[in-house]
Amino acid sequence: MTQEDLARKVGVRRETILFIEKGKYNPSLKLAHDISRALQTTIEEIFIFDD
Amino acid sequence: MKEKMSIVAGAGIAILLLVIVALYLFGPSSIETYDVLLIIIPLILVVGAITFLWDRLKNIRAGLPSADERAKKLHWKAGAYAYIATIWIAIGTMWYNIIFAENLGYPELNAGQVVAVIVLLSGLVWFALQFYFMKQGDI
Repeated sequence: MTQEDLARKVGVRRETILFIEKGKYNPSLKLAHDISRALQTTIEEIFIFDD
Repeated sequence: MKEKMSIVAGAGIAILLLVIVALYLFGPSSIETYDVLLIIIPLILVVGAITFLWDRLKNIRAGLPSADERAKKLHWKAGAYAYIATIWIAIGTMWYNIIFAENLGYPELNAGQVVAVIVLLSGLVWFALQFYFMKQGDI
């Protein structure tokens, strides 16, 4: 799945997916949830939160 | 529909600004040094507006939203910073008239020029900050 495909699925701009991948943008809980659903996995599998 | 309306409105304002600048440039009144700034800054604003509109159109054509949560957040963040910048620009014009115009003999800015400088520079700061934030991600 390309960044554009994922962006279209979750309803955001492609740059937003790019910055999330690069770790330069923290998505809202809703967007994180939508991404995890689009990728058929859990939020914990995709996002790692450092203390 | 709302996105298309905002694009049409933005394009309309950009065209209107260009027409005003053209009328000013080719009108009967002579142009002074400070007036050149008041022409250049709106032109930069128009170019900035066209860039943003083009970016939005590109996303809409690709079937993506023109503005998402990140874009909206950065839009308002840039607006908040531009508001603070506007206050400093207003103070700057006051200082200019006190320090440069009254004491060093530079031409004094009249009320109309002060308003124009504040409005145009704050718009410029807002555009520049939006562009910068959009390129930086958010963190």
